[in-house]
Amino acid sequence: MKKSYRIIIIVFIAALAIAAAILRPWSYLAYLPIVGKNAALTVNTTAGKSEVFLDGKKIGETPLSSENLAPGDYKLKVSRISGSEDFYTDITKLIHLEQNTRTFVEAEIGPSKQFSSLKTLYYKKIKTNESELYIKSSPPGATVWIDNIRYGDTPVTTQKLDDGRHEMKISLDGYEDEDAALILREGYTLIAEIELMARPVQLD
Amino acid sequence: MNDQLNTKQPTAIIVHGANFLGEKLAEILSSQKTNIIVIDEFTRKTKKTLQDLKSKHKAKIYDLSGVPGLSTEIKRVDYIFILLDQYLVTTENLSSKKFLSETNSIDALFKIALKQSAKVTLTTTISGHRKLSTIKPQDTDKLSSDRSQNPYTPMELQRYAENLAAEYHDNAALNIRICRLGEVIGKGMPLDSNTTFVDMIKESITKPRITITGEGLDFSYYINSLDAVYGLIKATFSGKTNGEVFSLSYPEEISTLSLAYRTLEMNPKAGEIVFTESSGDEGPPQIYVPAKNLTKIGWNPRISFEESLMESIQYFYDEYNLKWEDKPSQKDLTDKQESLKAKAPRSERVTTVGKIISSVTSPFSRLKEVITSTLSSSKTQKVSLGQVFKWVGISLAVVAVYFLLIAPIIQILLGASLGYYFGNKGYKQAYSLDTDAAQKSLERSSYFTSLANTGFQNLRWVSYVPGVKNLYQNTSNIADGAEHLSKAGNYLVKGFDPYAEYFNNFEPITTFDQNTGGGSREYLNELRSMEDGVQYIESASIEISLATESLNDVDTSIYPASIRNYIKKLKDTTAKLDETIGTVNEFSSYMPEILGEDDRKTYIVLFQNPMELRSTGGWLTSYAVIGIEHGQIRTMTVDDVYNADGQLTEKVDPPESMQKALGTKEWNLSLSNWSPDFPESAEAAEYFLKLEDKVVNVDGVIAIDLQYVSELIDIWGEIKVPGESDPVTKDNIYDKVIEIHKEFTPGSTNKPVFLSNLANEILKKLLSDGKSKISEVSKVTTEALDENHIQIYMHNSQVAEVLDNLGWSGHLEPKTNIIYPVEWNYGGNKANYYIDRSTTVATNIIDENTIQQKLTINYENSSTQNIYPEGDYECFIRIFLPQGVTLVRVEGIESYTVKESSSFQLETLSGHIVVPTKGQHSISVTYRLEREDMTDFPLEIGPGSKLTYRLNFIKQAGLDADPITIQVSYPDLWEPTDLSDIQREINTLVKRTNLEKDEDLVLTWEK
Repeated sequence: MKKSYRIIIIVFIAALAIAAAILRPWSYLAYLPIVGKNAALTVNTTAGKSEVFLDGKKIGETPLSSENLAPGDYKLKVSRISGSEDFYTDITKLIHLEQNTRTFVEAEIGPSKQFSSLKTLYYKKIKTNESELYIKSSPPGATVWIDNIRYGDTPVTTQKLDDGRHEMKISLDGYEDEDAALILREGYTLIAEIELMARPVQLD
Repeated sequence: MNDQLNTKQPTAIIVHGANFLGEKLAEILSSQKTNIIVIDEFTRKTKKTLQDLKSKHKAKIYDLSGVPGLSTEIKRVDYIFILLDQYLVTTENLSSKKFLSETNSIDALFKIALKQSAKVTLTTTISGHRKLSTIKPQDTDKLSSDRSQNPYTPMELQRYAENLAAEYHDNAALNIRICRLGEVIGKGMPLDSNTTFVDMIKESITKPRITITGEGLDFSYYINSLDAVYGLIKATFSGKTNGEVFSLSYPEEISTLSLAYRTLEMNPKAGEIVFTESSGDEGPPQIYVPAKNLTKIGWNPRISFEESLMESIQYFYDEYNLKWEDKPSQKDLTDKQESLKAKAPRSERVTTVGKIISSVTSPFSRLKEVITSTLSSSKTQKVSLGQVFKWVGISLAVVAVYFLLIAPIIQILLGASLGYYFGNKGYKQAYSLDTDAAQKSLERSSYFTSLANTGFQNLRWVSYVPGVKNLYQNTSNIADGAEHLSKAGNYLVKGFDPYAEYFNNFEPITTFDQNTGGGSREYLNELRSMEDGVQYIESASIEISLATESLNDVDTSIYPASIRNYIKKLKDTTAKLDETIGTVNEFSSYMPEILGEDDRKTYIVLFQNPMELRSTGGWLTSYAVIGIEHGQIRTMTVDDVYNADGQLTEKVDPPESMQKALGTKEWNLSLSNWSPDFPESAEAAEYFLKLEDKVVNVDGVIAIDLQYVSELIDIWGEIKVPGESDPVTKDNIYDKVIEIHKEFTPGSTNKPVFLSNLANEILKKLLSDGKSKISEVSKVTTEALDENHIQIYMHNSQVAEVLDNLGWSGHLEPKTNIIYPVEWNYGGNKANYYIDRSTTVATNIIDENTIQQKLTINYENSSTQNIYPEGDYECFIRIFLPQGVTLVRVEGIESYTVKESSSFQLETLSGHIVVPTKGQHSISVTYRLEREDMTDFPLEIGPGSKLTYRLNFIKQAGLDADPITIQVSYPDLWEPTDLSDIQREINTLVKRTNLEKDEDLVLTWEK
């Protein structure tokens, strides 16, 4: 074979190797339905039915469980179905769907943001085999108990816990307490974002 | 033999060389000073040629049977020409013994060539290959009519030789090429071969006719003998022919019919062409694809077919000792060539279009040849199990090396460099408010840093190498942190994009010098987008927290010093970002409300002049009322504080502490900032403005001082203000303010006009130059907020909480071990502007339960005369200390009192100070802190004998960044653990700094 042909072939193979390393075409296989590694979403509301929108497109009503969603970031909107239009506020949230996991959203929708609460639990893949947890509340400074052990005030940065189910309780003066079941998985950080609802003022 | 051969010269062996081709080859090679060895059968036919070779070219002659024994004798061989074609065309079927002798010779020659690294050229025939390629199994018997005694056909010998050559090449890397010759014609052509050409020439000479069996549509390839020799030389010496098979012939094949016509033209003596019936069992013509022609490597036949034909005819005439009458001349030949081209079947003519088509399709023809030869060779190639395992193993190894080493290295190098490049680019674009471009850059940065991190993870196997594990894990954490940070940057740009849009699009419809607003441009869409932006800022805060977590695990000590500082800087910056992003996130969620998304918001802006020191920073000289609705400024008014107070109709009693301290009987707006807690003072100011009918509903109060304004002006260097003869600069603004105050009389509008003009011009500068100066404006404003040159109070309790967390509210709260001196200049001058102040806090930790502290403040008055604005500095000082302290000694403060402040839960020591013109004065307060007396003792004992000491020194708003020294003495057995920014002097830790903002000092020891 001519030397120039050899050089061309070598350069071509090198360019292909570099392009493959950068573009990682093998990673897109995971998005194929046949391969089955997709993301799922569950949306619940505590009272009444609500419409659920992802990036402006309606995907169903609560209680909603949607599988085979492409991983990524989405704008979620939960809009309560009510006879009185505009009475209830819409809940909007940027949510993250991680490949091969389920994102959980629970909302209590009131007439305004102050009278609403929102719990979002989602996973992010990490590089180690540990199972981690990150808890954030709005407003911050809420006390976190996990399995009846106090873990400090939010934001509670990653705590390395055993994988499996844990019970979380979060409380802050002036706000309603919130509970949640946390399912920790190896190789993932579970991120819990809790928007607390203000407790109505008690007048003597 | 080698004694006779000159081993310094190359040596060529020509096998079956006793013929025209061999002789010509020897002639050319010997002229190039090559030793010649000719191997052939010694027969009557070959005798003369061998003698000529010996005499003319000094060739060494060997019989074919001696080839196997040659390997031990020959010390040098450079070229081996095996002219098997000459043997094949002149031989009938071979006996087993003969076949074996030939094949053994060929095998031995290949071995010699391998040993000597010689180049080998094997010639066979195109016609033989054609027969081999079209042979059918059931036709085998037809090739040999005498199978019992001579069972091997020349084609079988050809096949054996070619296959053996291929094996030697593939398995042993023998340098060999195969040239399949067309039928050799012209001078020296073999006359005893039974080919159509030879028979036709013979017949044309000896008989007056040319007989064609069948229709004459069988084709053959031809080559001139001399061209064949040159072709063989070219093929052997070319570097491109190793392992290749070439056809050495004219490019086009000639049909028997065409040959007959041409022969008749040249030799009219032939008379006529006679067609005879064929046997009928030839079957349809088979498609034959010869090997690529040697013209591919640049060889071209020099002698045309017509010239070769003429040469051949002449050769026959000479061999038969006959005279060729009517031999055409060269001119006739040329004319005949042209006419024959014209008469030749269309397929044999080369037209211009045909040449173009040929040049276009020749690559595809060549591809077809390659595929065909590959497929045909692959059909016959046997693959052993070992080879399968070998190739599978190699493939797996290549894939493993690629995924575990090559790809990760590419990902790390490219990912890190491009991630950094795009991150830097995005950062600059974000700062110039080009958020669209910044988003794209940061998305790319995020992609590439993720790529680099992926590469690191794929190199995890490196951590099993001894001594590398620690380095790998730490670097992996850095890569992880960088990935999270880059995602955070991406989210942040998306989150702050609405703000950038708002800023870029903002056009005020009113200015500071107009009292009424107008116009309709509003920014509701931008405000609503800010709500969406909060989500991204939330996501950014999570990513930053994850980044902090990863980077906290990094041990910087394992890296060289040059890198260590960068990593430490990254860690510190990330930790700082982590501290503030949560609060920024909270704050950003309220921005739409603050900008009047739902209804009009009214804010009071208080201008404080720190040249006359007050509790919250300076004397309240002027105020502004700003109304914002749907993101647009609806009202903006500026007024002097005395004008407002002039409209106060009812008497308001000042706070009791103020009455006792200053003897003040009446309270008003100008004195409303008595409380050092800004929210309290803000509420007082709001109260007065409502009383004075300047405002109805207020949503917030913002205080800014002259220091901040001067820093803003310094961004542009100078600002031209209408009504001022010279531009206002940082250096002259204080003088201008003093001048205005000197000229002020109640009711005059000089001050508010100047301030409103100045505010207008600053606003215009911000809106026109905002993009280019946004980073400086942000920096100056953030510093002013941190240093309390700006303080903000909001009625919205959630926003107020956020401002508290950021330290921007001026809220006084009982911190651990607080020291907060607050001065109030009551001298009626600007004397504090001429005061140089230095502070020392000396702490002596006696034991784990007892601490003694001494606060010393030294004053030096550089006033030169006791004339306004200079003069004696008369000040009422309040020093806030933690509850439960025991006062030991107070010096330099007249008539001091100590009182517990229930509203702040602090001890307050207050009294009077006078620093005379050109004089100095010192105050000192010594006190003791006992654990049993205090709920929040500043020394904490942690697990593992860890001790933590805290001190919070609060800087009064309005003061310069005066020098402060903090000394902490401790017991002998304690060992300090973190000495960043701290000097150690035996048993004392010392920090010397300029107090730009509150000082939160934390020191730790181990016992």
